[in-house]
Amino acid sequence: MEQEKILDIAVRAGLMLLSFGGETYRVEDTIKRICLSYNLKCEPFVLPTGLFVSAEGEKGVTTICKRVSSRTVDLKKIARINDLSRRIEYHKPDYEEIKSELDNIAQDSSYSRLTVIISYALTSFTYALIFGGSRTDALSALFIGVILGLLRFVFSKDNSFPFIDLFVDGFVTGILGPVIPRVIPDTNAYVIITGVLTNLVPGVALTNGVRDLLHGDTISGLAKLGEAIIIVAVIAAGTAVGLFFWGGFS
Amino acid sequence: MIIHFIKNFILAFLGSIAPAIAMNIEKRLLLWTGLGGSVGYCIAYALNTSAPSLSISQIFIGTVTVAIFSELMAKKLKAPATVFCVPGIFPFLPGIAAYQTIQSLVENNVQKAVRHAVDTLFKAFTIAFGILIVTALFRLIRKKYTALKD
Repeated sequence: MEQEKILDIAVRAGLMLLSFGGETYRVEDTIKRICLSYNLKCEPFVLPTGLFVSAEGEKGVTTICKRVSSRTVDLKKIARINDLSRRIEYHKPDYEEIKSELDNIAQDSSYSRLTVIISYALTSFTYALIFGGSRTDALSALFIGVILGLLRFVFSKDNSFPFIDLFVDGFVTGILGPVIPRVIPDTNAYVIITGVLTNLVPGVALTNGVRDLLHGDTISGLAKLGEAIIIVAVIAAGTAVGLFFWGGFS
Repeated sequence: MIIHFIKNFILAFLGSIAPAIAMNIEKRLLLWTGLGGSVGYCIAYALNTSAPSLSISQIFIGTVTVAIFSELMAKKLKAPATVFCVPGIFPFLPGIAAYQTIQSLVENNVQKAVRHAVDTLFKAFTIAFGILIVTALFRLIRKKYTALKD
């Protein structure tokens, strides 16, 4: 296979991995492994917001630089790209086959909207219970969880400002949480809000950030930790504005 | 006593699979992910059943359990360990501490906010560190194992 084509698939796979929440070392490993499978030496440099790959082959040095604009978490796609890179290593399929497989992965189905909304509701419900809430607390959290699930689809397309959805999520939770104890007796706004906000906790950014740091990818690690802190701060700001609306609560 | 364990098992199970669905996990891995989360959480809970919330050491042991489970399952089910790990650690995430930080800030109590913020960060680092130790260990074992085979 030609140098450009090898680099093309390697970069595409790496880029997808990066934008679906893969760790930095996994992205670098995958790019290196794909290139080495076709005897091409390359040096990838991966940041959370983009990647550079430079390969030195028969046609001299080729460098590709790609930006990543949107980052989500998609465990299915990570698993499938991981599978693909292993298959490339052992069977060395040709360019067209890998390309169609990558297209296939990119358009892979996800759960239906209803399932995702149910999962948001279930998360809120479960964590309200884990954090020591009663059944009424959990059911109230479930209700707000459904609203957050709906909001996810409102903001899923065309974000002009990347963190606005988190702010709105926090705001809705902060506004609705304190209402419930006023309407339904024996409920605890604190448990309800915590349970609902568990949906938004940047668990992946946080753990991946620390893993990158301890792995030696200092820049990526700090950037991801920074992202996690910004996410928490935005959610906090949203929630705080919501709470201020009610003058805090005692 | 047993009732508490069963309750925690079910809660942690749901608490792992629900976020996993939101992160679009493969259907065939869903139950295994939930199992990892609940086993880890139950072991953490067993260390101190009377504590109102999990302490740092409990979180550490729990995360290590989840990470070991993930590595073993990754081998068995041919999927990257992250897929099991990320949802599995959800029950340990310091949601309460993070929320208390916000609440203290809203109440204009900076001292309390800083205390909760440090608590949050410590817990987050504990989780990440627990996963990392296990990952490193398994990588070492795999390296030694392949070196022995050659």
